[in-house]
Amino acid sequence: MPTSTAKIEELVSREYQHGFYTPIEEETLPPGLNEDIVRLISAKKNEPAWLTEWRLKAYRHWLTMKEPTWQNVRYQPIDYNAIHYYSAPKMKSRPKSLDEVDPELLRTYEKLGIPLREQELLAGVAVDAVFDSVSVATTFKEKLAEHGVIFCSFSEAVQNYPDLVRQYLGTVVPYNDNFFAALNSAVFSDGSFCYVPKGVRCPMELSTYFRINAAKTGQFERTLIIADEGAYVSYLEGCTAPMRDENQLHAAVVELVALEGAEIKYSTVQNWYPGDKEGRGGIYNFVTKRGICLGRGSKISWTQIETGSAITWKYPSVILRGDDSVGEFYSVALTNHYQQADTGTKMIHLGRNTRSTILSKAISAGHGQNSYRGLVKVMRGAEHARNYTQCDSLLIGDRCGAHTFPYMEVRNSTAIVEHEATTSKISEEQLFYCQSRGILLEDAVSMIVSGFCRQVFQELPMEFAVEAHKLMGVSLEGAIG
Amino acid sequence: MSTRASAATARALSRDSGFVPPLHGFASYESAAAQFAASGPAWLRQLRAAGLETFRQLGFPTTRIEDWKYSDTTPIVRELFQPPLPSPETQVDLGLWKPWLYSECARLVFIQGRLVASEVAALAQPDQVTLLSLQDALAKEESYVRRVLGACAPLNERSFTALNLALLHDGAWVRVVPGTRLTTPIQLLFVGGSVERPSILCPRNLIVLGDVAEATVIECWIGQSGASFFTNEVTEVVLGEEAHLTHLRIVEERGAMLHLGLTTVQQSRGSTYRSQVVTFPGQWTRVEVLTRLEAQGATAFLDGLFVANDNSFVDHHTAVDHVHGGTTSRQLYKGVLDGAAHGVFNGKVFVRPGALKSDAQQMNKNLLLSDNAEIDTKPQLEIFADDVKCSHGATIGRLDDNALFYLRARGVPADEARRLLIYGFANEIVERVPLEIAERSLRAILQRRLAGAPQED
Repeated sequence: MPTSTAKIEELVSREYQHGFYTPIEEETLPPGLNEDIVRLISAKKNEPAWLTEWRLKAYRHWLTMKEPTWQNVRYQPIDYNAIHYYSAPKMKSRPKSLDEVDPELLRTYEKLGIPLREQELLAGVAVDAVFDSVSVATTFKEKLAEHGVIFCSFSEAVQNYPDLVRQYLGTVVPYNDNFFAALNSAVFSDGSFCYVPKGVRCPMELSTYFRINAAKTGQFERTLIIADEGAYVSYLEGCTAPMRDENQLHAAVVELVALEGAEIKYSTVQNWYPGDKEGRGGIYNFVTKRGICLGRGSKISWTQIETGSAITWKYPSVILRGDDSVGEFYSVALTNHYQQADTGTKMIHLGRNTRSTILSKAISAGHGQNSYRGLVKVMRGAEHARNYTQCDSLLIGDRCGAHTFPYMEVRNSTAIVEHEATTSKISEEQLFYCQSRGILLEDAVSMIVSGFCRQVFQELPMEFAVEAHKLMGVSLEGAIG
Repeated sequence: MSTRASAATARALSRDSGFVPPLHGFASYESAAAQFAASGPAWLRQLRAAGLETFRQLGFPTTRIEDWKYSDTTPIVRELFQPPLPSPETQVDLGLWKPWLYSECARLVFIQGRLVASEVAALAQPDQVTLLSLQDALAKEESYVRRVLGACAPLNERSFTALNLALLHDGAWVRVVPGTRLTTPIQLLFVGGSVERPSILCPRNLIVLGDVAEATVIECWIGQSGASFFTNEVTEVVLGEEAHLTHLRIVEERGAMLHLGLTTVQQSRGSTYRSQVVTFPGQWTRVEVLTRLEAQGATAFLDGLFVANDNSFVDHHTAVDHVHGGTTSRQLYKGVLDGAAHGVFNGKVFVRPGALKSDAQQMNKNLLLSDNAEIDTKPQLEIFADDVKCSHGATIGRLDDNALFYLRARGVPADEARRLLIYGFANEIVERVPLEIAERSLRAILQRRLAGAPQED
């Protein structure tokens, strides 16, 4: 389609919209990592001794580990001693309310389209915002407290609910789980904490917004969500970062615990800076996310829209321990320019009658490389386990790649496991059909891609589904030609 | 190589490499290689030396290597293998393997790697085809052999291929001249096993079809053994333009038979490779079929069936490499696992950059009949071009309760109903077998295996 190429080139050159930097006074620890830094981070957060010890244990274990190389992504070796492991906006003390938060910070979030104040009033979404390493504001606290829901920054949780944190921290993702989880366990600076008590249906969507601002910092947040018996919570995270030439590391850990009859719905709209169109800069998004369905009849559902990051490498997983528990994974991963993604899930069936559904949609454009990697494991005791997996890839342009690495390991004869995958491109016929009806090329592409992703978008909370649609459009613009 | 030097090599194989040296060291492999090292032309001796060197550098892969994630090589690593002792008898009674001697076929029979019978009288076009042992082929048409040997199974990082090369001695040589449509099927029968000490055999078969040639080749690997008998075979297939090869490979082994079979195929423009792999494993079997579709119109059909019970391990790997656009591949592998058997399927489809209009389909279906059995399947796509049609699927399940009920409601006893359904499941592959006599023989084995009867030939 040569006629549209010029227009497309123009659109491709459109820049990342969230790439601004906020000149704000930050307190940053010197780069590098050693036991003193770990202790210092812990001290800054005024943490109890057991947590400091836990961090040190993780750090010492991390030293014995080697960075994995099996993943289907390529990047320059990371110099772990050049990273700042802690960076925080300077504040005299924790803000009591939004009025005390640095107005410069609030403006940043406004630019990102999440005016905290406005959301507090209108959207009915409780937001915990994490700026570089620390949580800067949590909205709607009182309203949530009425229902007994605890939603605060991780640091606050350590101060105010140490027993809960101690009981669950590291139970789903142990400190020695993998290289990046160990690193996170040693240096994590903040994150969100949520506890929904027995039988409570959380009255609103909970949301965290992550923002990397400072240069040469790594962001290592840790999220812990516990849904007690019969509880329900829907949680959403969004992420952005400024544009920079160097790569920045984001190594988060998310742990979900669902007790009997509880349900956790975790949605991610990830739009970290993906690097420029030559593949310079961008975020390395190396994240460990895992949930455990501990109790009978519990359910964990992951939905992710991955459009950002130079490299996305994560496998939100569910351990189905309780009988009749359910795990779900819905994913849209888009790679354009030189972005790489190696993402998927693990469903570990331990309990009887456990069910899992995996639906993965991968879109590759430009020089993007997109891999689906998933494990479905049915253990011997998992009678009548059921899994259905579908992963589809859409290729746009002849320089990108789509890869599928599904692993199925079944040790129980009553299990039924199905997997199917397809790879195709946007068909010329579909484009022609749309264009002959006066729909512009890029709108047609966007429409077809939206249709391709529809099943996943449907799983998103309403307002974020709208955002996701827009994000896809922007990320894909000019990918055809 | 001195023992000191090989100890150093073993040390160099650090834990992290994912490879391990043989438990009893490289010495036995070195002395086995020394037996053959002096025979054959210089280029072959060089190849063997290179094979031995690569094997010594690598050792055996462990489950830490992705390609071997589910295939534990311990039964091979721990043995002290030697080449099988030459049989003292000069005359072999082929009657022992009568059910395996397919009528209508021209045939080479190897017992423990030694050619014992060459029945080429059945060939309708004897001038259009060369059917020889590799040793004889080296004597008669060395230049052809030299061009083909190692061409599509290069050393790379494959330690078993390197080992095959190091111990390379004999095998089968099939060459069909261009333009010949061979009407007589060719059977290659390899009888192994029946050894008293752990033995290793590394046959290499070469099948070359000239342009527009057509042939059917049936490889049968049979045997049973009390002591470990490790067959580490490599078959290289080179197909000329518009050549058609139907390639049936049957492995029916019992007892302590260990079998690693690698078939690598090079396909030119418009060629068709039709592979059927049927495996009834002994203790440990891994069969790999790798094909490169190197030019427009090359087509590959890869079918497979494995039926395993007891404690056997059976692994099938396929890789279809769409190097060039306009190529097509179809794969269907089915597995039946009972007892405490462990089955593995790993199918790969690669579509290289620029290989537009590639069309690849892959399907793997597995029946898991016992809670002690295990199946690990990994269908894999790696696509680097957009204008392609690629899909794959995999299922794991047990027999359909409704179908069982249907049969039982009509008075079919439970056991028989089960067998009938399994037989039907396997039949999808068996009925595609090109030669009626081979099909009949497979049905007989299948029924015997399913009946759980003592397995006598």
